[in-house]
Amino acid sequence: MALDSYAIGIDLGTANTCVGVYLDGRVEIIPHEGRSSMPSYVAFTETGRLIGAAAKSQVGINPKNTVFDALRLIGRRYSDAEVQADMKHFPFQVLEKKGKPVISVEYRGNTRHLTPEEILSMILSRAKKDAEIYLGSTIMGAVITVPSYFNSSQRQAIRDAALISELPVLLLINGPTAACSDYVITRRFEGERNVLVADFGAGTFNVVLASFEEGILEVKSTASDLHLGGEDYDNRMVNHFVNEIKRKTKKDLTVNRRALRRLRTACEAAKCELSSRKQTQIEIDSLYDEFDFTSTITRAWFEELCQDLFRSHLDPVERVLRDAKMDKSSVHHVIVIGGSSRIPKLQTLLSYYWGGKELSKFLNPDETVARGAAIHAAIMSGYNSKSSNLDEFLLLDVAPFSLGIETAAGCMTPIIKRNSTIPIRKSVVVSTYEDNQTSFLVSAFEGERALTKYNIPLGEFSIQVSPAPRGVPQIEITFDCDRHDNKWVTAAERGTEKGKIYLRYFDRLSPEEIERMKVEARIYDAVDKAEAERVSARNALESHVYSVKRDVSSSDPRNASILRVATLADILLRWLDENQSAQASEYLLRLTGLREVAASITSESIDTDTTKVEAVERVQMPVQPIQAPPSQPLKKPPPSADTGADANSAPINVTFSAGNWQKTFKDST
Amino acid sequence: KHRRRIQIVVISLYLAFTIFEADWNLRRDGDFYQALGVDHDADDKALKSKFRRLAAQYHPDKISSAEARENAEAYFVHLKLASDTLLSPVKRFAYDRFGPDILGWRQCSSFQDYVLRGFQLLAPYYIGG
Repeated sequence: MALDSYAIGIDLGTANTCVGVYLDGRVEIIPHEGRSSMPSYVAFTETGRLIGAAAKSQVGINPKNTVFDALRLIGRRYSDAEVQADMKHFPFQVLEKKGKPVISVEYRGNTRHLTPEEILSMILSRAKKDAEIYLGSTIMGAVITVPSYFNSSQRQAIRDAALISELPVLLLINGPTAACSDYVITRRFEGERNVLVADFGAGTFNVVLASFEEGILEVKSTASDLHLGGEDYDNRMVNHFVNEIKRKTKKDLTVNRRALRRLRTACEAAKCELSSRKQTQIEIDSLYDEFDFTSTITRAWFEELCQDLFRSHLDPVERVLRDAKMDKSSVHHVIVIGGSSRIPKLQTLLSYYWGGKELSKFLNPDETVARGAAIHAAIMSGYNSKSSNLDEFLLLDVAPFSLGIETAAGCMTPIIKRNSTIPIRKSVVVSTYEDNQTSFLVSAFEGERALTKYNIPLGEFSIQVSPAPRGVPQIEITFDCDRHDNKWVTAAERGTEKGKIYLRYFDRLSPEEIERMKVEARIYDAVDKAEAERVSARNALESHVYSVKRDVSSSDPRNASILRVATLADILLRWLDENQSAQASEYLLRLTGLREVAASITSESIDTDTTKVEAVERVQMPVQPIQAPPSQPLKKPPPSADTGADANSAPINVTFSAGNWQKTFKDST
Repeated sequence: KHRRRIQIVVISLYLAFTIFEADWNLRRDGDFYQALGVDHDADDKALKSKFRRLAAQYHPDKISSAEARENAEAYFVHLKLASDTLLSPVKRFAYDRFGPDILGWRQCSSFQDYVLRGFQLLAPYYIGG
């Protein structure tokens, strides 16, 4: 079934971004340069901007201007402990701007400060573009997955990023929830099924417990450990080796950041290898002052080293079961996703916890989140295929954090508790705590901590109350929370009109800022497009020169006109060498000139010198106007060329029709 | 003798009327059982199933027009509240005895809490009356 507009699902990950679309009853993963996922990297260079695989592949030569892990910075404050800790590992520079982190990069010789929202918007718009090319149609919107521990501020920042990239957000859902949807939809279960999804991320561990029956997936509870993940195992190994080196050679590795980073990379690779092998080696040449580091590590040793970390994975699992008031024996399926789910010890640990239960594994653990998102995108956009059972599928999601108000002495009083099904509306009646209070301040917070100062402020407003002794006025406060993270608070004294506020995070980008970033994003795109055009114009000229050269080399060298063309080709080659970064128009002008010259000698057997000299002169004269490429293919240049050489030259593509032009552009973006 | 009979008839008529009125009021407001369309003795399985069927129909995700969605949202919230209340044995026990007021009672988690709270609220009403 062909549609003119599709909704896509995007798994926006810290390291990789994966895009899926629901087509004819199944999900297809949209390829990015031949791979199923796109590295979440954006690079800035002298000539332009690179996104995805191209950005990641050049990280070694351009570390300062290659941005990754923007998801770790988004929606956070510069002073957050997480930001400060992450900054130490980033090769790019993170600065502070209005309390928020911005990334400083060199772009075409200028220093630019980019917000994490802008970086993610570039990744999103690239995902959108990939999908548009793959589907050959427009994209009407996307369902984007976020880590389940993301708070309102971070979720809002993702929405802002999507706004900048002009990609409408149909829904934001948690990654594990998306994976769970994919699981239950593709298996088409009958009867009640309780599914537990364990997401072993790089830095965090998230667990979601959901129950599925009659097409409805109801999320029961979620729990996370924000400091437990693959990187923690790496750290354990790194610390171990640092101590070992210190003991053996009396050298302190911690002062040398480069050495430390190389050790970390090697440890990470070794960790991954230990998932499939029993034993592996770490070898780093001249790690520190000509000191070569080698060590053999076994899987048993690694498991021993991280044993306590592995054990602590069970805490969130127990917490979700407790929150959902469920017994572990009532869980039918245990699903593991995320990179660290490949570690055999973690699998056996979970399996052992369920008394040797077989874990459910996916065919594509890296794609499943995008698949789930694509399914939700299809549902939200009303895509309805007869072969699917989507129209009866419904997700009842939960609020990831408690919402509440500040009461006396900075205490947090939750009104909507976490793990409540959304949409939800809940009211409480509170009263004043001073005599003759005339106004009442309602400040809303999000979070689980008992004191509001540790939670996230969402907004505040005050209402009028009639003076009375304390405890007498009755003020009704109502919280509303819908499926799209919109939150409202209304408050009023009983019997008076209400004050209402739409809650949004204090530090959100303003509409003006978003508008400015949108414009800038278009400029980036235009520059990228121009650069792509320039490169393809240059390539077209270069390949044309070579093909002309090959053709003339096989013809009679004594013919004056042929000699002239050969000379012109040589001149152009030298010019190309010297002008690596000329404008697209300059290349195009020379291409047209060369074509004219070549065409003139094919059409006339007896040449009049004058016309050709003119043409040669035109080719070499300085350029002003921008010329559109001619749309007809080149005629075979020398009539005297022997057929063998001609056949050889055939594969070189010198046709330059409009369609071809577009194709070259698409290929090179 | 006739006076006495008339008095009995009037009083019993009045009683019948109040009972009818109370019942009618209850019906008009609707209770959680009605919201879910189940009998008062429905078990958890029937409740869940009914809730799921209604949710699949009225969840805001299933409604395409924007104005209808707002109503759907309010309706869904009501449905969810009804099913949550009835699916929790403690809350259902309290709801059956003390009505929808129990939703506002905070710091009640066990049968005793609710019974105690219910009597505290009802006792002055009856004794005073």
